[in-house]
This record gives sequence, structure tokens and C-alpha cells, in this order.
Amino acid sequence: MSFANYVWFAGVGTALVLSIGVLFIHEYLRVWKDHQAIAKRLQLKSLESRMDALASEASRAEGEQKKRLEERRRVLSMVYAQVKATPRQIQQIQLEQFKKVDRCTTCHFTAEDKGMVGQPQPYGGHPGAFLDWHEVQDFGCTICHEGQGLSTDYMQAAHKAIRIHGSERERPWPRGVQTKYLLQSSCGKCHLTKDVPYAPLLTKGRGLIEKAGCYGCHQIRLYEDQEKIAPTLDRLGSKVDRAWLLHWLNDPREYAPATGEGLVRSRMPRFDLNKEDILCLTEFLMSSKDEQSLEEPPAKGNPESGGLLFREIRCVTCHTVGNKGGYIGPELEQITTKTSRKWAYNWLIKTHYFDPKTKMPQFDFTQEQAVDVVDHLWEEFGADPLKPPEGFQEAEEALKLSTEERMTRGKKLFSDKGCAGCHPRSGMEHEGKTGRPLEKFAQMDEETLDWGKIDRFKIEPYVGNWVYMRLLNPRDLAPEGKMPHFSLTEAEAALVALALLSDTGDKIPPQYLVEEKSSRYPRPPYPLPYGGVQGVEAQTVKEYPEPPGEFGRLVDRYRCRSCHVVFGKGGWVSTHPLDMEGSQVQEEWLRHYFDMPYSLRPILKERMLNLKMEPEEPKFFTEFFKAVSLDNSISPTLGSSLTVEEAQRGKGLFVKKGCGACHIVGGRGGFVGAALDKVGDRLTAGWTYAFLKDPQRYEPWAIQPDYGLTDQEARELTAYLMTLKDKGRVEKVSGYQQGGVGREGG
Amino acid sequence: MEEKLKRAKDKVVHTQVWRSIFRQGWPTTERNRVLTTINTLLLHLHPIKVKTHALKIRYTFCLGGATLFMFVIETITGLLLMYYYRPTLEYAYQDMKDLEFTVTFGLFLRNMHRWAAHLMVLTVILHMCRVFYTGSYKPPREFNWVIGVQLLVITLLLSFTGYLLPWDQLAYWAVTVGTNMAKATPVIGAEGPFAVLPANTDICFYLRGSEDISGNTLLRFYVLHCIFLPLSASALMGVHFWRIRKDGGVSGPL
Repeated sequence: MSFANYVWFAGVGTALVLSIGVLFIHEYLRVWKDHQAIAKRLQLKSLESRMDALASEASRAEGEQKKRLEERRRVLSMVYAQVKATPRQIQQIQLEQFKKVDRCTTCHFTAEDKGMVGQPQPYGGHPGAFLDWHEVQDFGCTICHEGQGLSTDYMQAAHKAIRIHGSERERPWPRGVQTKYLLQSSCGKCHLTKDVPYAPLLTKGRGLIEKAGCYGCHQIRLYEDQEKIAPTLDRLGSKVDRAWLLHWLNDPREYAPATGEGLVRSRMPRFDLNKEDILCLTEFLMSSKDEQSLEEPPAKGNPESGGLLFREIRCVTCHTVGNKGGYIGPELEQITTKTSRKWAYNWLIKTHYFDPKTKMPQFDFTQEQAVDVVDHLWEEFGADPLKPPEGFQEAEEALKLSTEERMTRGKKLFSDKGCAGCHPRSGMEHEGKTGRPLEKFAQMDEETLDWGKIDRFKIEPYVGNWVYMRLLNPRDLAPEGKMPHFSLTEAEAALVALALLSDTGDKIPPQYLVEEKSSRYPRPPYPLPYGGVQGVEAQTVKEYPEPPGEFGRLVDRYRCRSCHVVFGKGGWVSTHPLDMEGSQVQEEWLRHYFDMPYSLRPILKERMLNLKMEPEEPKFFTEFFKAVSLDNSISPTLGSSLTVEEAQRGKGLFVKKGCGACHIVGGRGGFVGAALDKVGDRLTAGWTYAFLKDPQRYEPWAIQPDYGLTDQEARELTAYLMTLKDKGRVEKVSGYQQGGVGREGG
Repeated sequence: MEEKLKRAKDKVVHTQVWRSIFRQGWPTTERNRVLTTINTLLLHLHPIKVKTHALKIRYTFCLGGATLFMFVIETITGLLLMYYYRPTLEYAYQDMKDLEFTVTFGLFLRNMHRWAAHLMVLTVILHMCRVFYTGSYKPPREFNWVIGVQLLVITLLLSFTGYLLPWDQLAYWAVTVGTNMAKATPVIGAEGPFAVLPANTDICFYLRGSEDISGNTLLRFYVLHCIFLPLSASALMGVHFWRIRKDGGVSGPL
């Protein structure tokens, strides 16, 4: 062998040995080791200082307090010893149920330590109290935060956006770590309810989907069996003015309150139809008439008494007048240009005949009262009849189509544009789903989406951005598309995107799912009257029974379910389900409440309507509630066992717990909770006690804090509250009989 | 001292155990050299005599040998990887991540397997070029050229089947595209010319074990990658090397 060959051999051999050395060094210097060492050092330091603080505090304190502080210090010292003894190794959480393994805590070693909140990441503790009820051992990290839980380095765990090829922009990985803004969409993976506690953005987003009626055209999870949101179009020809309809189809926002924003302005989106299409569609819609059902109203009513009635009933709870009022019913200021006096009169007389699904109660108007209200509206808001929008006169003259042809074209437009998705129309009940199904939305591949005129590489080409832009300006993405313009604000569009992204298509074990019915009543017992579901777990309740008999008729007539939950179903404008009303309130209060209803919460906009019931109906309701709508776990006799001493101690407790921050007593206090001035006349002692013990009993999202009161404390507070009666306040406690301050109804 | 050593050596060499393994003496004579090559498993593929010009590295660059070397590396690292990898939907991706982040030297093992695989494809192609440029495909070596082409195909198939195993997005879509091509096969592909089979019985379906990429596909590709293709390659390689000897040694004029 020549010398050169020896040199080669030595060189190659050395290189090989060195590269193996590099391999060992690389294996040893994993980045997580540094992170874990630093995290541990910081945590031990923080624990030491916390222990010192407790020790010095304990040295100053005495008795019970001292013992408590020392106990806390002892717990901390145990944690200290445990942390110190933990060897430097990969930490992992195995989630059998989710078939996942998360190694995030290898670097985020201190995530569970609340004392570390605020430290720079990855050494910070998890902020907030979320880990208290989503324990890390049960849920891991990536269920909420996404990302690659198996990885132990920063890039591979998908913390960071990746760079797009040939572009300066970065984009999030399809399932990378969720940004702070989108984080709440993860809540929606398991929480299949419209209200998700502690996830206000998701709740708002889902509310917007419901309000805008996206599910009319699209298949969306959670909204499969939803009622159509818009009024029926049967008899439209008899209801609305033709010129108004032309305006409405041309741009619905013209009609809506001018100062509103976003969806408040109009729920009906703008379809960008051309004039010919609008004329044909109008021809088709106006063809549905029902003149024989309409009665001729009396010639002249008394607008003044109509106005009184209008205010007394509180029509503005649901209807907007002059930019004020509720949004449940249509705006009334422009009613005279929209419809005829004759229709309005007939609507008030036979509300449920014309629209069996309306949310409006059937009021018991006499013919005179009805015409009074109508004439009040006409006098107040009367305007000249509308002219067709600009250019329509000429377009109509230029349109060379027979009525037959217009009808055919109008009907086709009606089907194509998915009008039947929102508007019920007889014969077209099953039409409407014209949009792309949005199930498993987060899984949609942006490559398959239509980006239209948008240069994808100038934005983040991400499915969330796609839907955001599509909601704000659908024509940019699909110039020929069907999707109409919704008048959403940018914030609203982002919330809708967030809510849609919560449908990731991930397989969640059923025991982790929080579904609509089980979340409303997460904890039995919630006995349903006649339901026969007592003792059955709430989750298994699939169908709620319809209210029976006379009660059912009245509930339907007064549309209680527009605002209240009755027999497990209905709106949540009012706070507690009426199904426990009998256990909640006192009989006498309830009977008088129907005569002159008032709002319990001073800041609430929605108010109970004055339904102008027949004289015997309040009595019937009261008796029904007291006999049937009961929660059997609530003691009906608690009131009689409360003592004056307890009430006096309860007053101290009321001050100590700071209840006055939210509740009004004696004209002073906060506006968040219900006014408690006359609560002793209203609530039963048993219900008050049960509520204090567990405020989230019926509504998991109730904001009343759970103070963890002992049985005795809850009794004392209840006793105090029961003394808050109309006649006087706590000073008069002595005036009550010894041994029983509560007064029970029924 | 020297005497003692020689005696000790003779003692060992003349035992029955030694004689049963090594049938002949040291390859110091012409005869013993021939016997050594013929009687030893590893050497018997070698020609008894090698022409001096064939030893010149620049003539062949040892590209075939390099390919064999890569194949050996693949076999060894692949065997070790098999200890940690389970070809199921549930575990495949997870095990790959385990290898990267928790198994000691797992990342090295996986990267070695991956880079050696890339290199093997490269050397195989370079080897083919070399054979073409030196005219080594000409008779009597035409049969070995055919075997070589088959080995090239097997190498590419090994590369393709191995691509699916990490079970990540890249793997999934690459194999979706790759197997979709099979649909266009004439006659036996559902979308190819003269197609006779429906989509659920065509060649693509048999490749995937289902209509889409699924757990069946993963298992199929795993078995192909670890058993069928390596064994076929080994068998063909045996023929390939044997034919080199029979066809007049490593390259060069005859």
C-alpha cells in the first residue's frame, strides 16, 4: 500500500469516528433537556419563595389561621420534594380514551403549577382555572391546543407557522397549535351545545349561525333539525305591497334600521339579482294569495286607545320601533309601506292561522281593540305608498315575457337560490339545502376550495380565512356563486368562522361529549312533568313530551316557548325553566305576576309581555305550576323551620359574602343579579336554599358564584332572604312569629 | 517462542472442528486459492480470477457494490426499525414520532434508513448508466441486464412502499396519487383503456386493499416492503452476481 492510501484510510476512518461522536452529542443535547432543567429550577425557586412567604405569615398568625397556613406550607413542601425527585426525562400523558399521547409537559413542565402563571413560556403555568375541571391527566394538552403532542421540539410540535413555498408569508399548519383567537373553537369539539360555558366567542359564533340561518342552505353540525328561520311565504300576495317586495329583494338592508350594525340590520341577505330576475321572482311570490280568509276591518278605530294597548302589552319587547326594542319580531316603523291595514288587522285577530309557527302569542283582541292598535300604527308611522325602486319601471316595460314565463323563471330562481332554506312555503318543504355541506369543516383542504380572484399566496390560505372572506364578500371568491351577501361585520364573520372550525371531525369518545340536552340539565334530578323520565339520566332523554291538555293549549297560544323553557324545550330569554316554577316561586306572587308582569333584573331589555289573559287563566297557570312543575329534590317545608336567629346571622353573611355587589336590596346594590327587595314574597325557601347550595343547578352558565356554603350558612342566608318582604325589611324580623319566618305558597 | 506459536497454531488448525469449517489450507498455492473461493459461501460468487483492469476503481466506480452496500444498510436499519413500528392506523404515526423523540438513536436510525434509501435509488441509476456507457449490456451479458432492470423496478417499489409507512399527510397523499395511476392501467385498471373490471375489483383496489388508502393499504405496503420485495431483491441479486462471474467477470472486455 502506498503512503497516499494510508492517508486516505486514516482520513476516512477519523471522519467516521467523528461523525459517530456527533451522533452521540446530538442524542445527548436534546433541546427539551435544557427546557426541563430551567423549568425545574424556576419552579423550585418559586416554591421556595412561596413556602417562605407562608412561613412568615404563619409566624404572625394565630390559632386556626396558623394551622391552616402551616398545612398549606406542608403541602407545598411535598410538591417541592416531588419536583426535586423527578429525574430529567420525557414526561408524557397517555390518553387511552382519545388514543393520544401528549409530551408537551416535557418542556411545559410547570403547566399545572398555578404559582408559575406569568413566567415566560415554556416555563409558565396554565392561566385561568380551566385545568381544574379539565384535568391534564384526563384531557392532555392537544385536545384543546392542537399541535403535534408526540414531538419534543419546538418546530416539530407545530408551534409555529410554516413558510409557504415561493412566498414571504407564513401560514399555520393545518392542525398546528391553535392561535389564542381560535382556541375557543376547540371547545366546540366536545361541547355540542349552542351555549358553551366560558367560551363566549364560540357561543357568539354559534348564535350568529343560528341567527343568520346558515343551516338553511348548508348542512352544519348541531343545526340538523332546526326550524326554518324566516316567515312563511304562503299568502304573501295578500300580505305585502308589490313595490315593497321589489325594494326588499333589491336590497333588504334598505328596510332595516339604519343605525344597526351587522346582522341587526337585516337577517335577509342580499342576493345580487338583476332587475329582470327580481321582477320574475316577485311575480312568482305575489301569486300566492288568500283573499277569502281576510275580513274587512271596521272603518275607523281609536288610535289613542290603540296606543295605550300597544304600550301596555309591551310590543317593543319583540318589535323594533325607531331603532329601539327587540329583534324577535319585524320592525314596525315602516309597516305601513310594507303591508295593508287590512292584513295587519287580520293578523292580530288570527295570528296563528296565518303563521302556525310564529313566535308571536295569539292575543285575545276584540275587533275594536285590534283595529285600534292597527290605526295607532298607521297614524304613528303612516307614509305614502312606496314607488318601485329606480329603474324598475323601465325594466318592467322592457321585459318581454308573459306572466306564464315570468312565473316559471321566478319559481326556478326560488329553488336555485335556496329561498326555501329559510322560508317555509307549502309544496317546497324539503327544498333549500343548496349550499355545500359544512360538516367536518376544519378538515377541508384549502386546495379544494375555490379561491376565485384572490391570490392565495398573498394571504394565509387557510380554510378559516376562506370562510371569513366568503362571508364578508362572497363575490370575490366565487363571482358566479350562489352565496348571498350577509350584512355581517368583520367581527361577526370571524366569529362564524371560529364556530364552523369547531367541527374538526375528530373522533371524541361519547362520554366526553357534552350534548344539548345533557348540558341544559347536566345533573339530574330534573324531573319532567308527565315525562316519565324521573330517575332516567338526563343524557338519555331524546324527545321531550309536548305539554298536555289545557296547559298545552295555553302554552301554544301564548307562545311561552318563544322565551321560556317548558317541558324541556323553548327559548332561554327567561332564565330558569318553567318546569320547576312551582318549586321556585310562591303561589300568591305568581298569580299577581300575570296581572302586571315586571322585569326581575333591572338591566334586562327583554320583559315579560302583558298577555291580557282571560281572568281564569292566571289561576289555571298558577295551579298547574304548583301541582305539576315541581323539582322533587327541593323541600317544600324548609321555610317553616327557619328561625329568627338564623335570619340575623344570615344578614351578616349577606354583607360578608358581598352579595350587594350584584343584587339590589333596599334600593342599593349592583345590577347584575335579580333585585332582591321583595324576594321573600317571591321565592320559596326551599328553592332559595337549593340555589345557594348549587347556583349552576339548572344552568351551567349561571354567573352566580358557588361560594361553597355549608348547609348551615345556606340556611342562614335563606332565612335572611325570606325576611325581605314587601312590608318592610330585616328590622322587622322581630315582628315575625318565632320559629318560622318563611311563608310558603300553596 | 516462534516454535511454540507455530506448534499452537498447528494444534488448532489440525483439529476436527477447524477442518470441518475450513476444508483447505491457506490460499498460498494456486489450488488452495481456487478451493477457498469455491468452498466459502461468501466468496463463491466471486470469480476465481479477477483481471487487473477490473480492479481499477475508475472503470466501474463500484456502483453495483455501493448499491449492495446500501441494501445491506437498509436491511440492518430496517430490521431494527421493525422493533419499534406497528403498521396499524392507530400506531403507525405515533410509533414514527416515538422513534424520533423518545427512542435512543431512533432519529438516527430512521434518518439512516431514509437517506440510504435515497442513495440506493441514486446508485442503482448511476450503475445502470455506467453499464450502458461501457456497453456491458451486450452479449453474453444481455440476460444480466434484464435481471438488473428487474432489480431497478424492485428498488423503486421498495422506495414507494416505504413512503407510506410513516402515515403522515405527505405519505398519504403521495401514495393516493401513486396508486391512482394504477387505475389507468389498460384492461385491468377501472379507468384505463379497454377496462373490463369495475372500480371495486380493479388493480388499484388490489393494491390498496380497499377503495381508498386505509389500514389495509398500510398493512399491504408493510408486508411488501419488509418481506416480499426484499426477498425478491435478494433472490434476483444472487442471480445477478452469479451471472457476472459466469459472463466473464466484472465488466471489461472479454
